[in-house]
Amino acid sequence: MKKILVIDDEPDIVFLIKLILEKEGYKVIEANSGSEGLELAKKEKPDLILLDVMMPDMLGWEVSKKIKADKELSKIPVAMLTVKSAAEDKLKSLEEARADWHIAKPIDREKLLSTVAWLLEAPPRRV
Amino acid sequence: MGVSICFASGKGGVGKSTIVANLGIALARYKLKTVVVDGNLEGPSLGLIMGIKPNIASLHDVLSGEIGVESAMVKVDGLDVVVGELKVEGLLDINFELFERTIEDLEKKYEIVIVDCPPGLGRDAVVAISSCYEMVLVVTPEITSISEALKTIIIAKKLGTKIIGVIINKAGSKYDIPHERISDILELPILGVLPEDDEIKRALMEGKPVILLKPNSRFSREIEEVAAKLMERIYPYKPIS
Repeated sequence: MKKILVIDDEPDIVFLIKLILEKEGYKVIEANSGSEGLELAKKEKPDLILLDVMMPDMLGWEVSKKIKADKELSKIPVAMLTVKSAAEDKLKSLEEARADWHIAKPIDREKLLSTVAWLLEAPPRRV
Repeated sequence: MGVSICFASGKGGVGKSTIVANLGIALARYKLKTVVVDGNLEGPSLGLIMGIKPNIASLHDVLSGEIGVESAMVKVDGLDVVVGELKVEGLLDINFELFERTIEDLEKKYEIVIVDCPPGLGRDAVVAISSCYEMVLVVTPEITSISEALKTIIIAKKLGTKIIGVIINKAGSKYDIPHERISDILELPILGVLPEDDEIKRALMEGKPVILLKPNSRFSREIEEVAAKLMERIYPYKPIS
């Protein structure tokens, strides 16, 4: 069973994502802050990380950068999942934060599931 | 008054010039008065792709004020083409302000003006983008191409150039970013998905656009589809013959 770590400080959003993903047979673990998410990622080595941007202790972009700079975690695909959806925000996710993808909130069930399936199967490769 | 559309990508090597050359021919075959302009001033390649002999009047001559744009026209299968100058010295006398005026002149004479934009977001690219009403983004289905496309979107929005859609080129690998995801992240409709095709390399070697060399190839058929979509945008009620 594929394990997905959701890092988001809003319990309602985490609840909704868990509901959608668990119904499809994924195991979901959750963290409510950037620092907690980093610790859990190191401990649990999930198959995929879904990461909010606006969190009080650390921006999700910073969390992604730390994940991608960590040899043990860098291969885990990371998708930013955020209301920040201007082209500038997406660019920041893909370039500066080195995330593998950027998903815009509000959450669309079908888009979330197909993106998750794709990232678990064949995440984009950086040349 | 015609419409000008620049084909831009941000990232180089995505196949813009090949698409522009072949699409121009497809549009001209729909009896649309079409001109394609090689706006890639530092690295023009439309002439090579279309088999046009070098050392003829070029856009560089127009932009240096030596000749009018009508003197730089070459005909390829019913399509008017303005090529770029292959010699680097041609870059020295370019007046960028003439670029916008040249495109305006062409809009008065043609139904569609297609500009092959240079890669990157240097001055030549910005001038080409700002000179056109609309833009089509060309990407390959991989992450660096998407990042560069996002940069181009940011610049196009600042310049007020409307982006009408995205063409995904060199598609067909199992490692492709799914096309719907590309459409999602760029927030653009897909105008076409073009395959990686060896016939394109062969066409380049023969100096003949693939749509003329191999009209039944998948690439050529997809180009026809893109042309039909652009045609419908410009003339929503005109039947395609």
